[in-house]
Amino acid sequence: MTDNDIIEQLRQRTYSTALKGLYHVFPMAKNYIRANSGSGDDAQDIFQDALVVLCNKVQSADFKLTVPLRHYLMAIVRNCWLQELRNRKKFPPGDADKEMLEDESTAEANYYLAKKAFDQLGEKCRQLLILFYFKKEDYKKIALSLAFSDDKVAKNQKYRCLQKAKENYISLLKNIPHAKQQ
Amino acid sequence: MQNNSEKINRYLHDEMDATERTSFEMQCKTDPELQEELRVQEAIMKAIENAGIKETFSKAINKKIIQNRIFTWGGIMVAGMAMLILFTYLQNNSSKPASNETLANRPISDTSLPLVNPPQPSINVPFSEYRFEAEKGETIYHPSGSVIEFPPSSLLDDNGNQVKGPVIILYREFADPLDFFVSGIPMQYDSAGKKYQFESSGMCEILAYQHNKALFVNPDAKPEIHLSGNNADPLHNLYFLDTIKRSWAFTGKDIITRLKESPASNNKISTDQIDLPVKPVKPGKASDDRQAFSIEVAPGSFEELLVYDKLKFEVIDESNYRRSDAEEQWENVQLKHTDREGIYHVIFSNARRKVSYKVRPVLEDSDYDAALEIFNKKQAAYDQSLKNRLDKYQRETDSVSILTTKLKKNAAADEAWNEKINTLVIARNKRVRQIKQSLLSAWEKNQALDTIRRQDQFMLLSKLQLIRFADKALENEVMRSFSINQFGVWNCDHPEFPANEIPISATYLDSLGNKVMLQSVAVVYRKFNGIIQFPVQMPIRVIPGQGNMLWGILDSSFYYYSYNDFAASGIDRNIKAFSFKLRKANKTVRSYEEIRQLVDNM
Repeated sequence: MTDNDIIEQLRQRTYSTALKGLYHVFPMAKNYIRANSGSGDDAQDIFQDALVVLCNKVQSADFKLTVPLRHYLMAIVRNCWLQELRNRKKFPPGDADKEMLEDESTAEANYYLAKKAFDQLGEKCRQLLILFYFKKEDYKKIALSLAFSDDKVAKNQKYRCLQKAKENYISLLKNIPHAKQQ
Repeated sequence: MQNNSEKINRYLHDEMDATERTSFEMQCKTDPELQEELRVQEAIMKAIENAGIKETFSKAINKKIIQNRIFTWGGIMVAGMAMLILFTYLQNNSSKPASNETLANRPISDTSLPLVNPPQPSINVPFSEYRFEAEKGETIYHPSGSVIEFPPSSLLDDNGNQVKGPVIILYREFADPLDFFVSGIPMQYDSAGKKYQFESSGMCEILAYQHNKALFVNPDAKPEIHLSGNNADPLHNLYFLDTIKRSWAFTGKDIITRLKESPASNNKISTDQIDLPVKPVKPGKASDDRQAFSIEVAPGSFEELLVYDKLKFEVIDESNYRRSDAEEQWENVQLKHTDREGIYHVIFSNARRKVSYKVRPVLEDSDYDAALEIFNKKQAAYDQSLKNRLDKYQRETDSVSILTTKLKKNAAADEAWNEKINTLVIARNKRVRQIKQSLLSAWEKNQALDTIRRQDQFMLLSKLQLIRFADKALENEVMRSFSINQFGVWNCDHPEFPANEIPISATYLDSLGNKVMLQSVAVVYRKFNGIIQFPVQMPIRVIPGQGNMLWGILDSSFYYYSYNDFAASGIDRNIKAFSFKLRKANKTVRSYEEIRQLVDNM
């Protein structure tokens, strides 16, 4: 699979197929993260985050690949891991920005906060929102998968979960005022 | 607010027509609050999408890792074998016999074994076969008392077309530790990184075929299974064995119907319906002067508590509370219901101590109002659901009445059975006479007679099994009902986190002290309707001081270490390794009926 094929698969949202062409980067990512005070689990988590970032990047109309895709993905992996270390306060803010693909924009900071807000939800809430908004499943099917008594309960629960995610996000924004401006 | 949320959602997903879109954008320009809401929701939607993408990648990566691991383990096994051959060669050259322990220490990877791994494939729970016309549907009455309802056109072929004509249903149930043992179905459940042990209140496997091709469930007409049993514990959930993901999938709750009639009485059956949603529990307000703590509630359990964030448990009776308990390092925490609604027992334990407190769920002042709101909504939903359940409840009662009538026909079935046996015996006697009169050699005669004797034995056992099933079915007090969306293994279970287990490196010996290389080992705990399976090379886990039993199979021989053997063994918490001198069953076991008879008489 060529780099262009992989990018096309990502644009078509056929992620499992795209992964076949990207999985060979995982051992490199794992070595890098392990060598920089991370664990095997961290490596898997960060590699998935990097793939998500890559998906978002290739969707953009002005995306242009100037280096081999595996190098590009590794750069995202490093970026994500540095961000993670900074969040864990192992790494002082402002260092090692040279490795970044680009400066962290306000929009990206906001998306990061939104991710955090979403992650703060309970497992069932997260699953419910993914099933409804990402997998486009109907309430009946969701009620069955998540053991709600019926579709109405699933619908109400979805509304509550979404509200809770928004509240989490607003509360996080309040703590980091600079992230709010666009 | 909800309207805004829906409207924004439609805007973000491009589901508005041009007019509505323009109007919405205009509204946004003049309404900063709406603008803010749009911005927040857009960010959250992006987060959900990213989480969905991440989950998809995560599954694909895990699949890849498993594939790679199988490959790696394969490599290690080959290397291990090479070393073993070299080792054996050196041992032979020095005129010493090769040790079996080398084999026993060989590493084993779970993924290198089949998920369902019967210890002896020829000894397994037999399937019952049922046939009917797919388009008409059928109600199957299994001898165990369970009922399976197939609505008309409930089966699809692999192209998704409705199946017509004769179909075959294969069905079997796993009722107790022996059934779990011989079936080799894994009874472990992993959730949130913790390993739980299943205690079953009913498990079955159901498969459908036409012309030797597997069939699928029609999602618009799902079959319903009513499992007959005696366990009405509402904490049990419903799980499906996902053979692709190699794990149990939690699929919700079954409907429990309690049959309170005695088998001798007439059709009057009262039912005590326990059903979703779980009855909510009203939390209290935390008081300043009482001890309280937080514990993580296991998934799939205590659903009435999982709805509250920041929940704490307040000790009601502080008489046995010691200040030092808060500092103690506990290994296990168990939460249990009490007879009083809203009051629980929490048990902390470690190798040295076990303490138990009566507690109630509470929330701090600041969180209480939100929790109360949740409670009120849950209570309203619960009341409404109870009302809605009446129809379903009636249907269950009707179904149970049909079952009872059917069971009462068993006497007639017995007569038919007797007649069948009679016919077989007449045919047999005729053949014996023929053998006697024929010019067969003595050896041929013996062979023929032996075959007949074995057939007789088998028929007798099958009849005994049927009678045992029928007797049990009449005594059973509970029906657990659920609809199925796919064929395979379904299980009403409660994942337990067994406390106070200790690992023991086990060696298995026969009565003469020789090592026995068992094919499979399982530990049974008294009063626990489950089984803990271990690859023979791995340490086993037992609970010292409680009833443990050990089972193992080698070819057609059944080995065991009884409850009494365990009690007399002197195994305590400090023991790390132990040689189990196993008892060997007098008879060899070649069929399910034979092992069943052995274990039932143990």
